[in-house]
Amino acid sequence: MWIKIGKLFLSFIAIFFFVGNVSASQPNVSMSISQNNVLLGDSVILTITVDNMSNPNTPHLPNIDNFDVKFIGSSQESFRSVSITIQGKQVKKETSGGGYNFDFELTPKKVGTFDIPSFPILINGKTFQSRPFRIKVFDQSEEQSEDIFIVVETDKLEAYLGEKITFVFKWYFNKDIDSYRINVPWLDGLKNFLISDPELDNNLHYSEFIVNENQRVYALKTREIYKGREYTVISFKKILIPMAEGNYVLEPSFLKCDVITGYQKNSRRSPFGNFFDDDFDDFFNLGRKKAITKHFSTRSEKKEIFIRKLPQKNRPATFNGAVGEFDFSIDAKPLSLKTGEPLTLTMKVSGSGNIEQLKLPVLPEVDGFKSYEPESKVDVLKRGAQTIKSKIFEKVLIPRKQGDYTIPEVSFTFFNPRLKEYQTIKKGPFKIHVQKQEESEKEEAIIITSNAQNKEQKREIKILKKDIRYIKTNLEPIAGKEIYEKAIVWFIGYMFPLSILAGLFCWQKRREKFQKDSGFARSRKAFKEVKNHLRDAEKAIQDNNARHFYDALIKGLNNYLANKLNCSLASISPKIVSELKKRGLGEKEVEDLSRLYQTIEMALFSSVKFEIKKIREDYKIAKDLIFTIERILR
Amino acid sequence: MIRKLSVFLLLLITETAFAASANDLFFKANKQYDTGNYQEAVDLYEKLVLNGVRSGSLYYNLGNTYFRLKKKGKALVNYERAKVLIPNDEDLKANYEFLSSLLNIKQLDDTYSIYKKIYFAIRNAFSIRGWFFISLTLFLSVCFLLGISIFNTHFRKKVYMPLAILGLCFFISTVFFLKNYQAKKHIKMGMVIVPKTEVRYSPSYSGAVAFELTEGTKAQILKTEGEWTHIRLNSKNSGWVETEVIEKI
Repeated sequence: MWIKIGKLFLSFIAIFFFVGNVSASQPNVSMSISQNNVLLGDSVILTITVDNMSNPNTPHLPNIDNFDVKFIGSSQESFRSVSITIQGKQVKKETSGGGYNFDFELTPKKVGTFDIPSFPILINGKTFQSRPFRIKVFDQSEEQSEDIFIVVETDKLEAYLGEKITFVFKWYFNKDIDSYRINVPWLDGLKNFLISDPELDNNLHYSEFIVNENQRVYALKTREIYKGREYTVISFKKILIPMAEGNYVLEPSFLKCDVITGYQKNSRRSPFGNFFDDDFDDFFNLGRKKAITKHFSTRSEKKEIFIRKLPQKNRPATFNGAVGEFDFSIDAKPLSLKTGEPLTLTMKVSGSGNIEQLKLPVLPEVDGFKSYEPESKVDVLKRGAQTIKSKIFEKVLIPRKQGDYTIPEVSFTFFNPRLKEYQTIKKGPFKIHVQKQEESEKEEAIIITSNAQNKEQKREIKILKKDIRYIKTNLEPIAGKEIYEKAIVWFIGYMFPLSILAGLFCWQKRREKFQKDSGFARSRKAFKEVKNHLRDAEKAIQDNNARHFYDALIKGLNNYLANKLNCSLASISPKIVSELKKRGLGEKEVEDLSRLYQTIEMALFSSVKFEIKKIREDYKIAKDLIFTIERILR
Repeated sequence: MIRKLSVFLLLLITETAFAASANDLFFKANKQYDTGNYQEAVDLYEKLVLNGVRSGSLYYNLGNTYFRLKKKGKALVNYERAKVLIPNDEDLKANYEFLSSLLNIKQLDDTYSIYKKIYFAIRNAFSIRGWFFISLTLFLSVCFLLGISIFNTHFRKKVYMPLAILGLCFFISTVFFLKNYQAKKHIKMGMVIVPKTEVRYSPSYSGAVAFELTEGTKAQILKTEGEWTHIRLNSKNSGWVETEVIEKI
């Protein structure tokens, strides 16, 4: 509790002290430089410190003769900010700078001793004066060290265009190094040169090494005797391939490092005195041992390289930029094949030179072949310590038609820098026999390049690979019941034709009966005819003509019965009556019929006048009778 | 009546809705196949199959996906299923042949006499549907000829022989149709979906191993009793295998 109050009190005092302090002090600008002596290629750090000014802008520096000035960053030594808050409202905010540091890098342009006079520094609209200082720039380190130095070696200082030049960067040292910075200017890119990494030797252990602040190189750490002294050597190789002729200067590489000259023994004592013994104390302070270092910088010598133009004289037309010493071979496989099968032309260029940049040798066109874009790869073959690089081009040709073809010879031309002349290797020609493909053998094949790993397959790099065909993109049709499982199909397919057939059959049978059986036919047409007669009779009733009526009636009845019984008939006779009875006509009907005949005869052959009522009655009787007979004598 | 109608409508709606979602699922699965997520594609396709979607394309794609997952037996089973629905599809034929050649199946079939061989060769020349259509076509042509000969006596005398032949063919095709239909209904075929399996004399691991079958071999499934399935290859070779190694076509 008391501690809390005490803390509060103290912080109040602090606030008042600082607020007062801010308002009391004047802005102050001071400056310092990291070193007075510098090697050409190295740089000096100029630090401008601004005190007692809130949020100063980056100072503006004028140009300084013989130096490149570059702002590299700012930092704050300590930062004090005071804000007083009363009832949630910020009332006052004061920022007090214990020191703002602005770092500038001064890089000398040439060797010499330079006095830099006082120059104005502009900060937040106010101008301050710097103090004058002196910088000495050396070409070589005055303290040229035998202990630490860097070397850049090349295998040649004169090369032909496209000829490989190997550069080796070596850093020799036999002192402990704390931190380092290496700057190899040409590594960031050199105009008209291609820079590549050499093939790494699997038997050696490489470690990643940072140069130019962010570039990784694979470096070797070895021990070497140089001028009778043993050094640790860190080295890495780079291959440069010149792309244009001319004189080139490789700027010197630069090394900056802290050399450990000794260790400071930590003097801090345990507050427990000798309670623990010294070994224990040492154990805890082991990591705190402070190294005493000395700043050191050195440069390598600059290199001048002369790149010669390739001679125009005797330059063959087939030359396409290969420089080095190469061997060339070509192989065509198979020599006998069928149409549609692939023929692989394998061209191999091996040797030393700009293997990676090699272009495909000019291939003559062969008619009747479909050719595919060639593929190339670089093969590395290790034979002991020697690595042989080769570039392999593969071109696939597919014959379209059968026949005998000749693939003409292929020339590969390169410039040999050792002999200083162009050399051409010619290989071929190949005779190819193409057979016709059998229809059954025609396979839809996809040609793929196989990066086959084993040797067996390597010999025939193009293989015919069969794969399954692509998926279907449409779900339809979705199958339901099978067609033969549907009743409707059976009904329409079988029952319907069958019933039509049966119907047709019956109809035809009936027709045939009509044609063959006259009695049947007469019986069938009887009813139709009697209806006509009855219609006549009815007409007669309307005309009130009894005679016509009975005439129509008798004609109708006679005709009807004659048709029905298949006989000729003039009047009702006992024979007819018995026939009708035999056919199943009832007693009553026969009696009615006889009576009707009597009435008609009476009407026709006597002069008795008939009431219309009687006529109607007779018509009804006749009609009923005919319908009854029709029903029974069917 | 209204209730019945509404139930029918509801069924119709759900059916069309499902058809739409089935298509969506199918496209989704195809997309997974394209991007190489074969397991996801299989899951989606199988979901469709579970929902009762019967489509040649679906089984074909499922076969392709299983092939990509290096499950050749399962791929072949699905090609077999697709074959029933799209027997004349060229892609299916090509993939089926390719996969069969990869699996190098040694199929043990019944050894028949030459007559039976011919009989089966003819019987299996067409699918059930094929025989059905042949039978129907022959029936309709017989009907047509009979129909004409009813009216035309002159024609009737000439058509006796062709009618007899057509009638006989109709009879034979109908018999084949019915036989094949019956076989489909009652004979269940299965296919071995693991690289190798042992066929035992009895349904337990203590049973002696009769012979071995390789992936893609077809066998008739006689019955399944829990973990064991009784299979038959031909009159001489039958036995028991684990139920999970064989999948019904």
